[in-house]
Amino acid sequence: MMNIEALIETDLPTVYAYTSTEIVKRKFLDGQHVLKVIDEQDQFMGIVTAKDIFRHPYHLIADCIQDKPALRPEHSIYEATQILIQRQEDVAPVFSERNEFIGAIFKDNLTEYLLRYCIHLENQVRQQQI
Amino acid sequence: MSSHNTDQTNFQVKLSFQEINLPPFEDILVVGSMSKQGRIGLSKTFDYLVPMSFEMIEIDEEDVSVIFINRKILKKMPQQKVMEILRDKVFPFVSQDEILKVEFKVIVNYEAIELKNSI
Repeated sequence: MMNIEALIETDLPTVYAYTSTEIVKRKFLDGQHVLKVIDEQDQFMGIVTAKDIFRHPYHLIADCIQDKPALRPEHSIYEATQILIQRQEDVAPVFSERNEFIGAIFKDNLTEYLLRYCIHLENQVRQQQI
Repeated sequence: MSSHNTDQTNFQVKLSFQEINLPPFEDILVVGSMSKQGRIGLSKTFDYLVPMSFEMIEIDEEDVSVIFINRKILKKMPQQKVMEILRDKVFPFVSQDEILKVEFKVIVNYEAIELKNSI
């Protein structure tokens, strides 16, 4: 099965680590789903979702960052989906071989891909039967 | 107390002031697991106020998530021993949403010091 590279979202909205959680809550209410958190040196610290903020009611967004499974672009779509389901996460960061943050993988996108793939396989089977 | 009158309103001001030190504790800070302040924010604050003075120890317990210990204490007593005392005497009193400052003064006593006669 194809790897996750094509599904990586690289253009994530960014938030500074020492931003108030209240400001970030407003961003989520305005429609953001995931934010990339960076420190003073613009270094990647993690990604946060609305779930992370409601799970841990800290004042600073840096404290709300939760450990998420780290993926590589070489992970297959099947592996990535399995990891996200097992860890009960909606999103996971993807890192290069040099451990640089590349982007994020969303469970919704993986599910959509698998759904399309499933429909495609069903159509193939039908055509073979005809 | 001083008071001030305008045409319609009477103000009273209770005034007092005293010196404080920052951070407002010296020895140990115990942070509850549901405290509004998290370990990153607090450790950053201490880094700015008193760099390299406190050791942060993350704790996987229901009521306590992290503690900050003054490094002067750890110079006198092993961290494991400090943790034993805290677990036994302090942690049972910590609520999940509070932060406690703990006074922890170490006194070092020697029973007897033997000196070899070098003469």
